Amino acid sequence: MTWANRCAVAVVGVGFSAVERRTTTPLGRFADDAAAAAIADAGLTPDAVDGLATYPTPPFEGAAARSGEDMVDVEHFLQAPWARGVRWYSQAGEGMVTTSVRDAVHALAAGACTTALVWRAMYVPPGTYGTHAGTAPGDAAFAAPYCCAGAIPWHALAYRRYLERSGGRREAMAALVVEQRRNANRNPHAVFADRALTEQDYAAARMVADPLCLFDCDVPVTAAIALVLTTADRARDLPRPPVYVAAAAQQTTRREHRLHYTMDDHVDAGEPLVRALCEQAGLGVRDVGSAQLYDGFAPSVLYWLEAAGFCGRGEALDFVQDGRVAVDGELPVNTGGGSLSQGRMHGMGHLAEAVVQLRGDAGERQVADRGAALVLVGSPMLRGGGVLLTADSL
Amino acid sequence: MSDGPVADGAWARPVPVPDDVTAPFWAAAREGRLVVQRCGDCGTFQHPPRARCTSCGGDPMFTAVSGDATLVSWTTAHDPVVPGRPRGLPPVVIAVVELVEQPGLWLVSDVDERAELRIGDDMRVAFDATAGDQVLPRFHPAGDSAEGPS
Ligand SMILES: [Zn+2]
Repeated sequence: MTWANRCAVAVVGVGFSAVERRTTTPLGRFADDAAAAAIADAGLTPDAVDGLATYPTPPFEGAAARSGEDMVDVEHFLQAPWARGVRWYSQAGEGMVTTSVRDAVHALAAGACTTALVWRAMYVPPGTYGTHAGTAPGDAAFAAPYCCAGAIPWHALAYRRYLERSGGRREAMAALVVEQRRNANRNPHAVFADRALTEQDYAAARMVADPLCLFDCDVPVTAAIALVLTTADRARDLPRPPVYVAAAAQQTTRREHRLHYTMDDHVDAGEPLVRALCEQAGLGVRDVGSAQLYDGFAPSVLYWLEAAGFCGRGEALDFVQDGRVAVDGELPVNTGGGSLSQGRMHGMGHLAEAVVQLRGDAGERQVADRGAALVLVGSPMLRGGGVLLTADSL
Repeated sequence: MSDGPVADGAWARPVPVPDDVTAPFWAAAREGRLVVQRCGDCGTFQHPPRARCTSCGGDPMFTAVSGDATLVSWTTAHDPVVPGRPRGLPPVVIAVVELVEQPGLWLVSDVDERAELRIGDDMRVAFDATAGDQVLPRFHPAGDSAEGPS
């Protein structure tokens, strides 16, 4: 059954801050810039915003999580002089920014607000990670004492098993990673807009946790991206072509209780999520013209491709060869460069890129099929989420 | 008992903090015993420990297991981001092992460097590492001469 809120809400503004690696400028300034740009892009003034939604969690352990400094939460914008008219907000703890989009759709469709600002701000802390002596509480007690901490070993362990089982070679991942860098080289908002990457560079990269090499890991950035959402009837009076939210869903299925999840587990958990999105929109994955697939680590793209059914189990590494996922390929993927090359925005870069593509504003990296764009964010077993966006109201 | 090969004096492993649910696991490890929660109602093993059985909601009890396992996956991590671990130390092999008692009953361990590992390799527990005053169960390829409990 299609979603009651299918295409009831549209994205009408997109705004990007500058993108930096490390900086002493407080993160709140980046968020202010992105918000101002998104609101201006929507042809609105800031006082029109009466709804706020974000997923603010800092992407590293040991963050001070100070509003406007290393994290931009709802409180940051509630303190803004223009925000006196805000009457609805939502701060997600799981599911990343697709959850915030879904929450905003519900609020707008229900009349809780009329114009929602949805943003994500990301911060790179000074110094090196993990220099403080530590204890390991909770489930970390069963992993951190063995040097298994943070996301890297978890993804490396899953990817190793995937390669061993599928007979894939890690060298083949160069096709995807280099293609995404080509896309970033055509995206002015990418941190690697001016840095090329060749197959040779990939082959020579240092190993981080085999089979993951440096270029399989996303690039931390300090930046913010914001979207403005409003109801479809209001959207039609605004200057930019509306991009409709045709579906928005979260991974909610039961997960087996385990210390570790394999790529297959992610595919198992991702399938019902993608199925829900397609049912909500009344579309099939064959109708998707481009896909923005979360790539905190390059192998994440593989499990999303398989979960969506773009290829069979264990086939994704073959699927990304021969330009199939290039901008002019059969299924353009991560056309803005993704987290690997645009920068680690925890899915907000993927969302914004989908909007830019459906508007036809992507310049040299514009895809031909501007009908529907699929955005899948996070890891399915870790409560990832997704949205399906369309250029026309369904 | 030593700090084990990944804690070569240059750093100390993060120390597990037992809580109400996990304390029996760590108490047993101090005695060189591997115990895992098993549901008194449906018999399902589970790890890490939880307040209730994640399969049926029943009452889990800690039960001794054999300490035999097979290798699920492994990675050689270079400068892993672990609290207290400075950069520049030798890489560490991190593994996930499956206890023979039940599919999906998985534990994490670091493994001594070894020429070749394969999925499905037989592994065996030993209690040859510490973190602070806590003893850690670690897994070794079953062919290796590990100083585990006999
Ligand atoms: Zn049970």
